[in-house]
Amino acid sequence: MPRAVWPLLDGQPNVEIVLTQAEDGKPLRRHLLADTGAGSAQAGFELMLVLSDIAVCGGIYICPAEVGDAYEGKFNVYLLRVQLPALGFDQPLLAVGIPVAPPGFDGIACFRFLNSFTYGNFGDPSQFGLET
Amino acid sequence: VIPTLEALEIDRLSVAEKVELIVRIWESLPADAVPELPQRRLDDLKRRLARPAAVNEVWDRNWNVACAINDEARRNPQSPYAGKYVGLAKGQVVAVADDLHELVRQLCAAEPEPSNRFLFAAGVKPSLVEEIWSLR
Repeated sequence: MPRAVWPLLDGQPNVEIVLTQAEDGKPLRRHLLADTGAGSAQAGFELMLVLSDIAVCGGIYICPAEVGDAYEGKFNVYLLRVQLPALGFDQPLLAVGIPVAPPGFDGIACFRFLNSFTYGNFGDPSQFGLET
Repeated sequence: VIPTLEALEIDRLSVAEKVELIVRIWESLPADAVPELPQRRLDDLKRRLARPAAVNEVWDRNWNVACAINDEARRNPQSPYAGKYVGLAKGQVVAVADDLHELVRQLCAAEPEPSNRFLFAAGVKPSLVEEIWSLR
């Protein structure tokens, strides 16, 4: 089974995704905090990305959504292409546009996204990974 | 029997007048009486307090319909919406699907204006607000 692993960033689990810039099609690599506490398995979004990245990558505005706690209030949800090359993953995903990412990260990989894979440290506490 | 809003002509008041009336009723409660509000109402209060005063009527309409469908789906597993993704446009159900991305496709086809749209999973959890527990 394909597996992708990344070393912890400042002791926190992360996932590297590849976005596609709308203007020239160049890849935009982004490190997201892998956060099982971000949203539910049935949330209407899979990621949280900063609005500037969504704009650069031509995210399509889908609808508003309400989130609470660490991010509070009404935010817009966008659809944009997301790749994880090591897993052969290449799909449009729904991302909440946020003004600021968690410190040290470019956004959040929410529980709905992580839960669509097998995820964890796969026996090595210094890493986090996804497996299809 | 509690009279209806129409019988008391409350439905004819402006938003500001309704808010003033709510404040007066609230202040008329005994000081030690703490009414128990349903979680849905508490979430709604929290949401309204957190956002600017300018009220988005379409959002409110979608939100209220979504809460009603969610409550019904939680009470009644036979509800046609229970366990489904539901898409609303201006307070009307316009899409229902088992898969989120299929729902998005249906919803976008049915309603061209994104700010008029709303989507949620019906009957899965009490609140429609997605909590982001990180960073706390």
